[in-house]
Amino acid sequence: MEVTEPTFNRPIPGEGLTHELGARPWQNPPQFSTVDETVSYYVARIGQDEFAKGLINVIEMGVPLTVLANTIQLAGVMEGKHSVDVGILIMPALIEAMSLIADSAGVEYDTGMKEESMLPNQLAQRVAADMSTQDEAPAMEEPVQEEMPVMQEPQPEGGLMSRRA
Amino acid sequence: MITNPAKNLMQSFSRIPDITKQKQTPERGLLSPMRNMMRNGNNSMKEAKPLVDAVKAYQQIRNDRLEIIDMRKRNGSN
Repeated sequence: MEVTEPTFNRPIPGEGLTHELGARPWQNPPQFSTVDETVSYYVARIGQDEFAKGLINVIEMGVPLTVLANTIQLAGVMEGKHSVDVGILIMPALIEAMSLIADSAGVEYDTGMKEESMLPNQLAQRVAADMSTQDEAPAMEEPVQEEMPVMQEPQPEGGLMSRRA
Repeated sequence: MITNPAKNLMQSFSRIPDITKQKQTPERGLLSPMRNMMRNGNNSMKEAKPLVDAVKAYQQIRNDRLEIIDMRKRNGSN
């Protein structure tokens, strides 16, 4: 009778979902380490015709510039272009550069600085919610009758350890 | 919870006055040569200043944008 020996040289559960440290771009040293380098990279990229056309289209749709800047810098972090802190610091410069592009193209834009500025999908959701609430008839609230507390007479305890009166 | 810090950053950056270079005025006194030597040896001016660099870049782009808007207004009015 043959006895098969157990083999332990197998992947552990979940190993296929992980990567080695350093396999992702953001786990490596960033390509641009200073703010100046990063700003010049983004300004040059925004100035390209193809990028500018796409950017103007998105701005015309009503997407706030703050949201766009946050998305662009986050993509840069994921690509390993710069670190998170540099990405946060360059956001105002990015917003100004995008507003410069929009101004030069003669496009109206939402900077995202106002309280009521929101994304188009958020606006659509709010409109849909308002319409649904208008369709529903206002429900009449029934008056809630408060229950009167019932006084209960003390019942004699009949246990072995109960105190005698 | 702050989901988009860009708005707060823009508000903060817009309140910062324009950054200009420091004026170098000659100092008086007996110890002024010593102070100058110590300052030259100190590399504090060459240190990385990410926040200052970010504000400078922001202000430069903003000034360019305002200049373009002014030029457009002038051309439109003329």
